[in-house]
Amino acid sequence: MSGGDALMAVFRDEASDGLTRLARLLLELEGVTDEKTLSERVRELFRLAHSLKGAASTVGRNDLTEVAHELESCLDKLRRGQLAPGRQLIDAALTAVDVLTAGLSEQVSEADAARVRAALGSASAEPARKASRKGRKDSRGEAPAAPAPPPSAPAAPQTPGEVAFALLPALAGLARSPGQVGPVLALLSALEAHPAAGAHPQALAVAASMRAVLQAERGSPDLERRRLESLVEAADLLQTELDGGATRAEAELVVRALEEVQATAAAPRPVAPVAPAAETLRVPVALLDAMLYRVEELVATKLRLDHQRRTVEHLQDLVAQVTAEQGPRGVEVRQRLELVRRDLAQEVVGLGLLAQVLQDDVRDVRMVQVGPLLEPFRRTVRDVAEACGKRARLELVGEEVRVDKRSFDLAKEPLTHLVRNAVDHGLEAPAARAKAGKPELGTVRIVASAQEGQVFLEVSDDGRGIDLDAVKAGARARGLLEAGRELTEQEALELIFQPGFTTAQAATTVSGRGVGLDVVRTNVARLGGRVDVFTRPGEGARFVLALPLTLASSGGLFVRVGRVLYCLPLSAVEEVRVLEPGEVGVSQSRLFARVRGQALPWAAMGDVLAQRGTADPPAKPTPAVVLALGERRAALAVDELIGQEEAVVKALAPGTPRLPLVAGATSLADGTLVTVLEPTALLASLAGMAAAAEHPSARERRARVLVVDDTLTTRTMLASVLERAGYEVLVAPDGEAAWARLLQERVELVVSDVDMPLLDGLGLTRRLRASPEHAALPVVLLTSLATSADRAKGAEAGATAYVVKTDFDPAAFLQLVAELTGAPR
Amino acid sequence: MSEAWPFAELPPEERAQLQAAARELAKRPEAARQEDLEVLIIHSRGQTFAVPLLSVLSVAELHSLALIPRGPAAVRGLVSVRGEVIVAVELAALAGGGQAGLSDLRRVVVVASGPRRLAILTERMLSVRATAASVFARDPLAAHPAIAGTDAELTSLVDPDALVTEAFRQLEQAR
Repeated sequence: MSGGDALMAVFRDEASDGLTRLARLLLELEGVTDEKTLSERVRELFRLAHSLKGAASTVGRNDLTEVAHELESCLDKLRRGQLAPGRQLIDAALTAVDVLTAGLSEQVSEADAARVRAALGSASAEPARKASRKGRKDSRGEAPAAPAPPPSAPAAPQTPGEVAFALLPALAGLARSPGQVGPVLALLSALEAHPAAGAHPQALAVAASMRAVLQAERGSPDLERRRLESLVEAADLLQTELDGGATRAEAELVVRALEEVQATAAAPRPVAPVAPAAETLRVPVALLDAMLYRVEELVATKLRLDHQRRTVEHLQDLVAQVTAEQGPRGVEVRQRLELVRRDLAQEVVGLGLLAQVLQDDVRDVRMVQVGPLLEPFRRTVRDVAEACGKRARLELVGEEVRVDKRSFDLAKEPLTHLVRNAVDHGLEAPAARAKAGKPELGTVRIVASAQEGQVFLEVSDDGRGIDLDAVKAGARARGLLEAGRELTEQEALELIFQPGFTTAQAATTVSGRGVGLDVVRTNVARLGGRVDVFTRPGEGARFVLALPLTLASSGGLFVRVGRVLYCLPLSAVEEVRVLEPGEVGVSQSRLFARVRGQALPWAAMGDVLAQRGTADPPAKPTPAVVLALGERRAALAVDELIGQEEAVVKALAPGTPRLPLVAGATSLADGTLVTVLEPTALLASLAGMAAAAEHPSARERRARVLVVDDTLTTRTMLASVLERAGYEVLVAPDGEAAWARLLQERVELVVSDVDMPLLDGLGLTRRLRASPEHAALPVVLLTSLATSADRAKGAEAGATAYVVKTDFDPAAFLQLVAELTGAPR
Repeated sequence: MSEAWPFAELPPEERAQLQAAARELAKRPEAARQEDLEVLIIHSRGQTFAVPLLSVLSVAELHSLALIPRGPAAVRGLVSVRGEVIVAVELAALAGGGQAGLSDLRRVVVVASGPRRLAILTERMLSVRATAASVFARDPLAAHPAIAGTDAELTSLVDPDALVTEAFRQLEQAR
């Protein structure tokens, strides 16, 4: 299926739902008497028609767009109170809904479109006649429930208008008894024969057309709904005309519509050249999840059976030894056992194949084309650009690539972050772009591709690229890079993924949210993926997210730590090896293992899992696992390397809190459930332990934050939030007082209001940036000033982050503080 | 109150709490028992608990338990029931009591609270009983939020929603 087909399928699903809802609301509208409810329903009707029009336009279905536009216009008048929700209007709207519904699987014909226009146009011209037709509406409303009236019995019409009105219940009777066209024809005859009818040539033309249709219909066992609707519309128009309201054009449209349906009465309607909709069924994702769980159980059963097969083979060996001397009887036992083994082996193979096919099928059902999932990012790009005073567009490439919906949902947040970053940090302002000879409209591109069990999502921009010198300077200022150390381009780029990394330029909407690229990398790694970055000065940056095609991993390394078995995803295991005592040593209070000429952080996995202090170097050969995620690598000692096995990793049940070290669980062949560890968390935990070991003072002294605000309430609130999170808090009521404290006390972070007496937050920030001693001190401006201009002033003054008080979220704030102070989160 | 009362040595505040508990227990027989609650009676570390049957999703044999590194004491690990990996707790441990030996834990009772699932590990299952919610009086001494009340036979009624919330809270705190 091409990308276009996939989008069309999404459109059909969405439009079908919308039309169902439209029809239902229209039908309910008649029974609504309460003004408020009525108003709400009408608003929703309008919104549905509007959305449908937009969606149809998006997929290039102009025929549907036009019909939806007619419907939308009519509902707009209804919404504005220019029309009343009378029966005629509802019928006309339902006609439009029917035409649109039919149009989802075949092109809307001009006749159908005209029919809708006529019906809606006629209904829209209703308000003047509304009052006079109220009584008719009631009697017409009751008609379907009453038995079909005999042609001459109740009508006894006195005027042509009354004759025309009697047509409606007669047509209702025709709907119940298709083929019984006599009563309707009798009324038409009565109308044509009426002495006053001569004054209404249009009405007579319509009546003649109706007669032609009905005569073609006589005796037919089923009356096509479309034809019946045309007849009802014609009857409606007759009334209008005979009441003196229909235009010639309306009458002509009705006549044309009748001619059209008459022409198609004999021959089946040709199918318009629109690709037939593939038959689809909507299935809740939860059900697919449940199916996947069951299939995974089946795979686990296969693994257990295979284990049994191996047991039988072992038994065979034993039996062979025992029965070697027992002649024919022994031979028979061995032969029978061999038959059992063969049967079991065949069953295992068969079950394995079946389980594999079923697993692939269920996974395949969960795979969706990525294009429609990426569509919302157009809005993201537009909104972020607008907020930054930039112009940007999103280009999508590879929309037909299929991804596991669950994987994509989990990757959406990091992807959103990268897209926002691309606009916010990557693209230059229009003036700068013009100066650089680039179009003012910047481009952000998401390219999707799939290869070897992985899906790649590249987010690139045509902006300024990443300024590596600024990155290195920022890293030095944050203590992330030693002065004088030379880095390759890739090493420098890796710095942007370091926790706590930021540059002064980052004080914008995005950075104000307190989420760094380290979080993006961590979240992607949690999904078993990775993020790489590339840049070209002046041409832009490119971030590549590589994600597993599906979340269920197929390989695990099983290890024993103490008496407990754990599983590590093979995707994170670089190698396993036995380290000799001389290969582990101490440097700067930290333990390192020498692996292939490189010094890797080393720890016993048991210590990492228990968050215990790092032990001494091992005195005997120790099995170790080398974990690698991007640039981060470490060697973890285990008690035993059990081996590599096929493993179906099951995620924790929905709703379970995230367990930082646990990725899920898997079953061994014998049914033993084993915890699958999260390599990212293991590495992060090891890094935290190493940092604590390297800087013992850090464990003793809590990070210190200076809160500067002239309102006691804010100071108290912030101090409380920070102290509860373990920080030591100093306070100051204005910039000058803060400066005085900073000259005497060392702090790791300043959180300051902007608008304050004596020295405001901007002034304080500028003063800090100008001071060699405090130039690198992170400053968070926490203020109620929320405009882009205010933010720009903050960035200009040198603030590290800008948080608007109305958006204050304690958790996000603490995350930001942790990043900026380098405190463990 | 006679001075021979065995709890006379207790501080006045605790004595008052016990008196209140005694008054609650004394009230129970007078209430007409309307059996409006079906409960699953389970045993954990010498204590008896009643789990409302409506919240019980499934009962299974405990085959295997996977450990959660750094998990709180009451959370014994992860179990797999019908393909779902669920956090498993021991009621007595969650309520502040000790833990049973792993080999004593034989059954898994999976309870639901909205979309959340929690497995209760138990040594044995006694029975399903129809009872009246009113016989479980709120025990003023019961400090645990997951216990909705205790009846005259000292069976504690579990509040499944509060139980799941408490277990997940402890998990989040242990991070």
